Amino acid sequence: MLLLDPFGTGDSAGSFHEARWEIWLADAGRGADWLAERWPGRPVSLWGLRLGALLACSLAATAPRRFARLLLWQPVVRGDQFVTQFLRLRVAAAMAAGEKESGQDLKARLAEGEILEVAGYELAPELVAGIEALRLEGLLAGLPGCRVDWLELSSPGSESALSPASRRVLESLPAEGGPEVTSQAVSGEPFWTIQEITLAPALLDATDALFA
Amino acid sequence: MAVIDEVKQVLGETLQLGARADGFSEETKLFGAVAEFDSMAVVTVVTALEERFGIYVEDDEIEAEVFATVGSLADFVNQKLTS
Repeated sequence: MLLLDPFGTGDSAGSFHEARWEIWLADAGRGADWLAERWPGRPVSLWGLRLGALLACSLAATAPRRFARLLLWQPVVRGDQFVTQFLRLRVAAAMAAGEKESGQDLKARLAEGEILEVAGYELAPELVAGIEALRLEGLLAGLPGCRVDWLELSSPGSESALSPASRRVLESLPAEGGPEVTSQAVSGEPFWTIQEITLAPALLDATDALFA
Repeated sequence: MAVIDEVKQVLGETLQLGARADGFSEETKLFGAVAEFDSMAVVTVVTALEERFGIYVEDDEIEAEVFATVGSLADFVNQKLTS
């Protein structure tokens, strides 16, 4: 398994304000090339969490028959909604400081080319534009025959079910000529939103079972 | 489950409060009173409420008054559900 820190994040080169969706996409493609060279003849699968799932689908869509299999953990289904939710971090921080900002004003400033700081990230308009254009539905529809395993977490104590937004995407996919999708909701906490390192054992077990 | 109980459950899960959330009442103060309830948590809670209840929250509705107490947050959700 090869795990990438996208350009401008984690241990990778670059600053976050220089990050662009196209760079992340090209780098993910290079990662897949590297795996293919290292293990010739073995299929390469793509695995993504949240926005990473959109990245995996974007990469697969650039070469529809190259990747036999995708594993999506709680995929973001619409890039524009993801951006709205991310900008809310700044809206909420302003609220905490007794000030008022709105996501719409922030979007207008981005549209004018301004780099905005959101939760410590210097967010560039180009990256936002790249993410806003993404729709999981359209990307998946363009992957004929691809096996897609979609896993989501449901809060412990509630009924395990995919979110309404996810169900809508799955229902919209063509019955024929599209990907072959399996979907499953398992019990666990949304570990990517929690500061402390948190495990979702049921998610790991379900993933193990899919790739056994 | 009553809306207020679901709101308490969402708070307990998203803020990692464990059993503390079970002791919450309508009057329990949140924003500025519960240490874990910072601006990051506000966003997490709003997103979780949207997904749980299938509602959509506008940015200009993210106001300190909404997050003042457990009761004010539950009222907000109720109002969204009936509008």
